[in-house]
Amino acid sequence: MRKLSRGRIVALLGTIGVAATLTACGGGSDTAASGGCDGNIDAGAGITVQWHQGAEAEVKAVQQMVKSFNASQSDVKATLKLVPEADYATSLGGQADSDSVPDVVDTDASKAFTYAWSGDLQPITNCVSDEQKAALLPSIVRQGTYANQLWALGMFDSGLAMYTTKSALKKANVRTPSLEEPWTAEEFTAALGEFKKAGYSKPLDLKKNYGQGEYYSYGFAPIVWSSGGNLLSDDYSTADGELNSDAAVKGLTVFQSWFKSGYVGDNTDDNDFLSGRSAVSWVGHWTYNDYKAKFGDDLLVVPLPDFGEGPRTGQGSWQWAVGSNADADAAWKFIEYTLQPEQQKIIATASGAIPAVTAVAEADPKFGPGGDLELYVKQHEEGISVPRPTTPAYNTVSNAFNQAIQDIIDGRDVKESLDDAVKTIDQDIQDNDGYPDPS
Amino acid sequence: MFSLPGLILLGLFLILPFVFAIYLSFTNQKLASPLPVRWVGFDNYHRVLTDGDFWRAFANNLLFAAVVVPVQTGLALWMAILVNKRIRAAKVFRAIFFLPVVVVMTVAAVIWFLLLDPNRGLVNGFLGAITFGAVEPGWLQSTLWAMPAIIIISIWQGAGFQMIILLAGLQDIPQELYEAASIDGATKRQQFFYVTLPQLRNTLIFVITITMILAFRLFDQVWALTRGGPLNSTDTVMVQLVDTGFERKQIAVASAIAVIFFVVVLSLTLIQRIFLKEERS
Amino acid sequence: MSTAAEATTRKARPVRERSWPTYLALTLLAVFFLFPLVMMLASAFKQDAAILPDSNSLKAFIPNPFDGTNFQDAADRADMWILARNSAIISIVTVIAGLAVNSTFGYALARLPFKMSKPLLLGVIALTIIPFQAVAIPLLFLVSELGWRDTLYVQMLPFIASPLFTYLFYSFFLAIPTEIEEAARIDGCGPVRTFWQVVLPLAKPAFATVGILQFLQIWGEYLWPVLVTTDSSVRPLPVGIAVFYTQPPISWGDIMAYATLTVVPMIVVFILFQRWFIQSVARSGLKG
Repeated sequence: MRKLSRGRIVALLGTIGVAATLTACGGGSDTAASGGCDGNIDAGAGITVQWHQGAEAEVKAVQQMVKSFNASQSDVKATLKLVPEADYATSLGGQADSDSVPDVVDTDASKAFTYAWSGDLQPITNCVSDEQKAALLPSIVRQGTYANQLWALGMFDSGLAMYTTKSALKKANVRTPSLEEPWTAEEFTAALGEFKKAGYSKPLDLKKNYGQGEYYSYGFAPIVWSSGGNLLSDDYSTADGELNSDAAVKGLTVFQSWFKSGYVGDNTDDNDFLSGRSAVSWVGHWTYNDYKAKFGDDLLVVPLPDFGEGPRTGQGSWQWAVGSNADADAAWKFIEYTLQPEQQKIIATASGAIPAVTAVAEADPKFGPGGDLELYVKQHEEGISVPRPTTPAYNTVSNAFNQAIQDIIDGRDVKESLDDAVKTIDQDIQDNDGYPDPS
Repeated sequence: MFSLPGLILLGLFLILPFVFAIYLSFTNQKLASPLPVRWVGFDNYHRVLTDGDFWRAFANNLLFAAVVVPVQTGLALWMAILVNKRIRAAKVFRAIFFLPVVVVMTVAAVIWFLLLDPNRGLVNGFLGAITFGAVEPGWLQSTLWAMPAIIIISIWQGAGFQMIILLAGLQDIPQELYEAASIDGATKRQQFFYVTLPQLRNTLIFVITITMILAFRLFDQVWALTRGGPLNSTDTVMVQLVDTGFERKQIAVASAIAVIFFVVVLSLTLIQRIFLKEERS
Repeated sequence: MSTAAEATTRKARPVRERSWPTYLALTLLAVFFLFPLVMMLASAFKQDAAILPDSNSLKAFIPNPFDGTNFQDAADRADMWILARNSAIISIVTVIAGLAVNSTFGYALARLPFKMSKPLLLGVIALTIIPFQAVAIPLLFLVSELGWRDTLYVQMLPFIASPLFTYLFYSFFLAIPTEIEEAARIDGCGPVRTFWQVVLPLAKPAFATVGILQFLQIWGEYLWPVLVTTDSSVRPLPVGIAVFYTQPPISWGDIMAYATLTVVPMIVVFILFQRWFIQSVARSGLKG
């Protein structure tokens, strides 16, 4: 009972403090866009590094990295904190709200900018040297930049394409597409029919089992881009006339037709492609090792279909950012460490993703010329890949868009679904005064 | 003095936050936003009340309550009568019916997710086998069947609890009333309608009130399994609130939903109290 | 059903009720309430690869091929023992404090005459309507300002006082005859001693009921811990299951093992205290 009453007194005192700062809550008191590196690591700096607890191999690699980082130098001591991926956004929101974002925090692609905008991150523009920047894949820098500042850097980039097998193409008598001559949307739809006739009960695996969430935005926004639509206008001020444009409606209507024709499996066991129910699997780089192990040389990686304006694909992955309360130099020392060649190899092996450092990527036979995944690197280098909008509005854009995708999958009218998404997005942009850049 | 600890804690962790929510509902406060907070009057209320999704969610709550309150209460009453009989193993059955109540919602959600999978789930495996594949609903993935699925899960988890309360009520009914009734030649059915139900009146009113309030609070199952989908078919007011407040970071709008919810459920409870007045001795 | 039932009554001895329809009904109900849990248990002891292929037939109930490693995996991946310890501390402390606070408040409402007692009671009843989600956001602000994130007590304090449990105690105390307390007062006991020595012993069933209900509520809490904790050294069990959701192929064996380990303590507690609990509901205010 004694403990309880002490808690009460603390609580009472706290209430008085809260009443005084009511309007300052929600991170509003943070100063935005200040900070960054000053070249000095504060003495005895300890940093917290937060990673999303998703793929086990990645978690092990990051654990290993933190350990070897601590062993490699004595200026900065890093402590790792793992937060389950399923609740990651909610947890990070809670941290931002209480001004307790960790020193080094990984964020899912453009979702970082919500927190850059709210003042919970600090820019790392002046932490990175020009040579360091030049050594990275251009898509990595593009993905981390917002409001003329660099806020985040990924250890790796993602790759999005379709997997199929040579034997499936042969069996259904479908031609092999390439980046120069991708399947058109009509051609692809017809091919799905051929695969079905050839005995593939659910010819297309769209990883429907991942469910509504960031993957739907990442995986299916390329349809909008390739159709000639966009998620947002180029100045990020509205989604109207872009996301609900005729072009976007047309592209996503084709997408919906695959479900209506019964081409897409539920993939509940995550096994539609491996078990031969599907001939084509539309998914990111992370399934490569499993697929390769099963199909060996029969496996093919082909670009997403062209919906009219040339093939487009996604890019970007989880990336490191620096919390506003951190000693940026100490935080950067850790991020820099993860971009060293040995660490790059470790994380690339664990994640199956494309290493952020171009030289490391090209040295890997998988990604190099003639390699299975050369397509990914080419997509990033040739501008086929498009970053998800680098704006604080992205969080809303993604939620609204993946809701629309879910609705379209569930059979709702495409135009109606997209109009709803546009309404949500534009309302949010308006509510936030157009998300003015942090000063 | 006795009420002081309770008052202070309720004040701090329930009343103060709720008053704060009322305040927020008149502002444009958002999570993670550096913009200055403004007073916006009734804008948020206007936005919520003109939002089709909110009304859809509200209608779903009504539908859920309209099915769950009578069905679950009826089932629980039936179960209570069954386990109240003087038969062997009554206690074992009583325990079995109560077991799902102690199952944590996150766990119940994963189990039912697997059971209700349209293609590989046990439920459709069973339905398919007895109907030769004629009846295999899409359950959580179908706009038509998602709400029935949520209802079944809720009943599975909640009926045992109501059963225990009703059982306690049944055991309080004096045995002489039944004896007198059977001497008067009342059938089992007549005994149920003229002895059991009137005697259980207060208990039933309590159970119905609680079930109704819980029905309007429906959140956990939906959040864990469908997040309101597909196509808003399982959306509820609480799911809307959490989605608006945390996913969309519009906490002012979410607070307006909270206030509206409170007013609506309070009115419903009052109306119900007027119509079903408890008999207090 | 009634004609078939009547046919049997003719033969049956008049004293005994015909029992086979009752048993049939009970058995069918038992299947409905039990099969999900049996499936969970069987899957927890099964190889991952076999769970989905078996899941739409009776094979779902047979742990074959048997695999005991799921439990170890589940425990390792989710820091399960730490989370279990946290859950136990949070639940037990909250329930003990909750019983103290809610019973005294309920007693005050039922007995101690003071001016505000009636409106206070109505206020408590109105408060039962407010769902936790409705105050979660302001509460998050409050505890953030106080710097209470990532602690065990931030998961306890908001749940100690409860209008519903206060109301249950209130109805229970209302039903106790006042004569007993009068007698104590005449013997020279003050309100504190009367409560402690006279009322409390009578109120054991109410304490048991409310204690179990509150325990269930706290043990299953999900939204709040996700919002206010990120550190597994303070997170509770239900949150840990999220660790398994993320990367397909999902290991259903691990999930079911974790689920089993989350549920089994509750089932054991319930079975141990079953009789006590059910009898206590009968004597507490719960039945209205």
